Amino acid sequence: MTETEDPEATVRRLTQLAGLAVPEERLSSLAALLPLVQQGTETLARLDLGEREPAPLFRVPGQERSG
Amino acid sequence: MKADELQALTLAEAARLIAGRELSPRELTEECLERIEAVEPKLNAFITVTADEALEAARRAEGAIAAGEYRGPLHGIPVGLKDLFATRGVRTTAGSKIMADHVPDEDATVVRRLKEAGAVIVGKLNLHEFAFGATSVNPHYGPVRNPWDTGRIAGGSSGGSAAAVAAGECLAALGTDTGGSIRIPSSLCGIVGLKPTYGRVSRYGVVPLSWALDHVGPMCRTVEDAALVLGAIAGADPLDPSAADVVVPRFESRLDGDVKGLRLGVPREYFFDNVDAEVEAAVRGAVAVLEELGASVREVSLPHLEATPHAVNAIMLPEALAYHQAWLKERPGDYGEDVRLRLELGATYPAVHYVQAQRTRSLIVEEWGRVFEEIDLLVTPATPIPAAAIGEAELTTTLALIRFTNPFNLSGQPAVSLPCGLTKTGLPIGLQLVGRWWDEATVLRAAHAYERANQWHKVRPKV
Repeated sequence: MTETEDPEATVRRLTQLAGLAVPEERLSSLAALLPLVQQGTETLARLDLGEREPAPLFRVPGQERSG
Repeated sequence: MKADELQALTLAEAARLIAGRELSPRELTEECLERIEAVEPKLNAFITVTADEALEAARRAEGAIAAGEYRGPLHGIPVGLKDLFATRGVRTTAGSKIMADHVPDEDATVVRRLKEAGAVIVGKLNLHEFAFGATSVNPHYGPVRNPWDTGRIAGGSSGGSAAAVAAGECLAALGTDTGGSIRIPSSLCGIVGLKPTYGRVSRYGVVPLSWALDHVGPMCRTVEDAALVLGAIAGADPLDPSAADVVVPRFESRLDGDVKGLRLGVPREYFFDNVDAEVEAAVRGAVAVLEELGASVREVSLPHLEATPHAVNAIMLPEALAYHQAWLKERPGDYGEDVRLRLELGATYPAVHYVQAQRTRSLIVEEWGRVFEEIDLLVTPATPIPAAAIGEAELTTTLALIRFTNPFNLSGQPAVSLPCGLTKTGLPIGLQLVGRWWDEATVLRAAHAYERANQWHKVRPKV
């Protein structure tokens, strides 16, 4: 989201990118939640994650499983 | 046996009677079905009751046991399933309009395991739509009502599972937990709910909310019952690559009532902030009880707690949207308003945020692992508040309810909620015990010792 962009325009653009057609009357409810997303982005960005890789999800077929 | 005697039985007690042929599975199942008929108009815990199938399964169990083919403690025991576990030939709605007519052609792995253990499935339990919420106020099937006060929520998303067990409609149930959905309703309904270690139990055949955070676990009246059910459903599954090949102990054999030498950690931060005074008093009282029983207590800090709800959201919301994207495009009006809003919100999370959240997960696993070298268990309230009234601000209630549970979905550690008191108005309070990865045995052992000392599990709602 840019500093000057209208939050409803941001929501419209992002949901369209995800292939969703959110009706105009719903945009304000979603836009009201954007600060929470922004707060989350800032909180996670402040962490010192060093060289840590993301927690793994992908396992190739046949890979030995362990705890 | 009389109806009230049957109603008072725990799973373990019923199993001992069935094994000794002092109780018939058919008699027990009939009692549960009668109870369902009597209390469902008040509770709405079930979406589908499978009475005919249950009676047939009970009849088969009775015949097998009479022929000397007793399979173990779940044989002939009436069990309910949250309605997002696939059941062959029985509709599985996920609490949604979208899947209202979905009839799977195979069982989820855990359902298959329960059936192999001889359990009698009495029906499919109501939940928050698609498990995406903590109240179980379901717009399509009606709200699940709390057996302790039917004007209040049962919690969620496994609200029907908790209400049904608390009200004696079945002796155990399965739930799922992505941000607290086993522990929250267990806390609010006064039962025992265990979220095992991530990977302990297969998720195959379970409608997902978030693949990276979903856990399957037991919801029961007692800790011993939870140990028995966990033992039946746990273990590696070739159909679920996240289900790890780790030894499954006989959890019930570790329930010796002894906590001497156990090191308990009580959090300095976060878990006692903005907590209802009665909840805090009950939980601190429970810590004192465990200390009297021989555990040692120290204060601890878990690093980066403030980041965990953000990391959970950054993983859960985009994953949930990914699963629902096609339906949300084609049938947006078929979702309840709150679930639709959360799914749409998932589109606003940038990919980099998702990756940073998964890196945060690596960070907290590493750093909390160091904390858990100094302690065996962390003790917290399961929820900061007791059950809210149905219709109270949904978002505010949900955000409050998930605060103390969702950190351990991110870390993947085992965590149990068990009853530790009642408020002055008679609402249950839940104690949460969190253990090291794969150490459900210690979680259950301490929970069992506390339960034995306090007997809260014997206090039942009067529905």
